[in-house]
Amino acid sequence: MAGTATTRRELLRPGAADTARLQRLMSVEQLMLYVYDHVLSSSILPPATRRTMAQIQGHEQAHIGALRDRLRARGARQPPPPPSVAVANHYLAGRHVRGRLGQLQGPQDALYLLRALERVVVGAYFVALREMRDPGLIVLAAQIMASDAQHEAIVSERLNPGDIASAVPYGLVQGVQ
Amino acid sequence: MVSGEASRRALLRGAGQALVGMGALAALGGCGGAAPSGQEAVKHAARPVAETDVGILMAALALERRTVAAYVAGIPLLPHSQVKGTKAFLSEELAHTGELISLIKAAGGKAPPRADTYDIGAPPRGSSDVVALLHSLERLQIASYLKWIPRLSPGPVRAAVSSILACDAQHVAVLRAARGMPALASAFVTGNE
Repeated sequence: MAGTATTRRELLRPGAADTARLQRLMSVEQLMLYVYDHVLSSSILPPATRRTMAQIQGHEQAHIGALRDRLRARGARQPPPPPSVAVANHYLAGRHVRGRLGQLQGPQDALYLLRALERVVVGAYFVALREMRDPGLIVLAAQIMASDAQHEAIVSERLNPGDIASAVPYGLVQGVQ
Repeated sequence: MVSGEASRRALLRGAGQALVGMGALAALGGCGGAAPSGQEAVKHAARPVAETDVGILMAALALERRTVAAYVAGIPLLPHSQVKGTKAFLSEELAHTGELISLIKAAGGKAPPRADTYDIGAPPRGSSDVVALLHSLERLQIASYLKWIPRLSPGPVRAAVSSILACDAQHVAVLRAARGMPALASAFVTGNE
């Protein structure tokens, strides 16, 4: 994804590998927020679902804020959000997410896209947690991974209202990697 | 205190059946390519690392088993509409104990046998007590995992335990909603809400 490439100079710094992981996580969170922004800027969702998704959108902003603070503290570059729908769709394709912005036919399409991307974000944190070294970052990543797992469950419940078993289908939540 | 009884055995049988399917799904979903699993990684960890991990994983197992006991004790008190979902959560808690036992074994440890009884505090008297009890136990698990995860090494063990934490966070969201609270407490899951 553009904006995530780490320079040679950055890689030589102590903790550089954790910094690169932070940048990758921020990139995928930026994509997630871009998709929430896009969906919520349309009238595709019914009001109650829209209110819930707006709360999740706020969480994604908070995740990005926390990652941004950690990158600033490290003096590292911050990956930018996707500059356009076309670029966001390109990133979605790169992550094997099937839905495309601009082609959503109704609330189901929008929710399937949001759930698919939440799973990708959870998977990104799962992979990062295998490699991270900084204990503070590990705790932050685990807290955000758990939050995004909650989002996945809430979006799933909106797809199948009242079906709790399908909203929380796995005992080990690892997302999609 | 909760003791073994026929209803618990029946619940566990049902949960075990659900587990078979879930294990297969988890295996399919864990598409980590060539990356080692938590069990493989801890098998090759240096001795002091493995010993620290075993201590943490044993403590986690004790918590998870107590939560399983609370689910088993509480489900018969729930209304029919809540039973299916809560049984699914019980299955997932059992999956957590299975994962932790596998990690302990892989690290060269031996998981203790399940106790006959677990202290879950005052016995719940109705469905709202049950949901409140499950909520408090799930929150305790989350807070404990967040304390333990940075101390776990190698990384794949950390990630494996994080996948349990993430599932418990999903349980908490549903239990909060069942208690009439907003499902999502915060952008950062802490277990302290």
